[in-house]
Amino acid sequence: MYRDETSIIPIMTGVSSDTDLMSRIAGGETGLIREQAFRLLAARYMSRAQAIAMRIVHHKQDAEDCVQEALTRSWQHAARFDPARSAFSTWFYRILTNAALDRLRRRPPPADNIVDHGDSLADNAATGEDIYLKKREAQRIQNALSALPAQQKLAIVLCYYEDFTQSEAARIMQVHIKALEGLLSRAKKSLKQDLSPAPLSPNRSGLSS
Amino acid sequence: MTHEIDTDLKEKLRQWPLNSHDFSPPGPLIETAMSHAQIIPFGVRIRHELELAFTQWAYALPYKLGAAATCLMIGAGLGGLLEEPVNVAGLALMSLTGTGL
Repeated sequence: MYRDETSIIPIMTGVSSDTDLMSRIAGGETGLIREQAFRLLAARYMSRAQAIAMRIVHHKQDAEDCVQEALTRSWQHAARFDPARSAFSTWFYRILTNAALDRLRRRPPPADNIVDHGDSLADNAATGEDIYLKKREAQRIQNALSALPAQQKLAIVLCYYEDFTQSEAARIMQVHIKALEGLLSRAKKSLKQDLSPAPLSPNRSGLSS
Repeated sequence: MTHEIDTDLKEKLRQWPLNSHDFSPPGPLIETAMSHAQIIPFGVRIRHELELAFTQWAYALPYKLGAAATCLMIGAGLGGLLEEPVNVAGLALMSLTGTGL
């Protein structure tokens, strides 16, 4: 190693673009700088990546495995990234969503009790019935999403939860924009059908609070 | 077919929230990823090695010293054989010119 650690400072303090960081990661720099660049770049995308994976596979451990796989692949194959062909975010999310869809094919999410919503739905002012109803509704939404074909589900996750534009989502999914619109329309129709009935009252049997 | 984002549906879907317990700390995931060896294409690796070798004198010093010693030995060997001094670098250039490179 022939560059001292002070040469990392421009990466850490400056606002480096994703492409700059990727060129450092892809072998243009010595080990320490490459690792720092990767830490910085990965940290930018971690929370969104975890949310996407979680919404697709509905299971914390599986979602973590997907994110791990995407990170490892983007580290190992950084030299394959071509900024002329796509933005880093598109490339990274494509790896992530492929990993998540592979996992989903191998192991579909269980139909019930996928995620415990207790912590996220409870607040101090909510009564037990409010929490129960919210929990029930969250469960219905998860079940409705689980029932969608994988590509439709991915389209919904990207466009409705993560606010990607339709052209960005199409690039991530490697489909034509018209195909994405078709996926979204069909998914919307199914979801509206599944979610339209009134939520169950707490007196009915079902999910326990 | 044009798809308009349905704000009612969006609002409805967001009633499935994620909480902080659904997320793993990023540090270990990143460190695990970096524990794998990077796969660098051969051409990129060679170009990078050459760039370092020609821009940093200390990089791969044993190889550089080895190459210099080999040139010296070839020069001395040929010089001894032909009984006159031999310019190894000159010979190398002449051979390259001869092969059209």
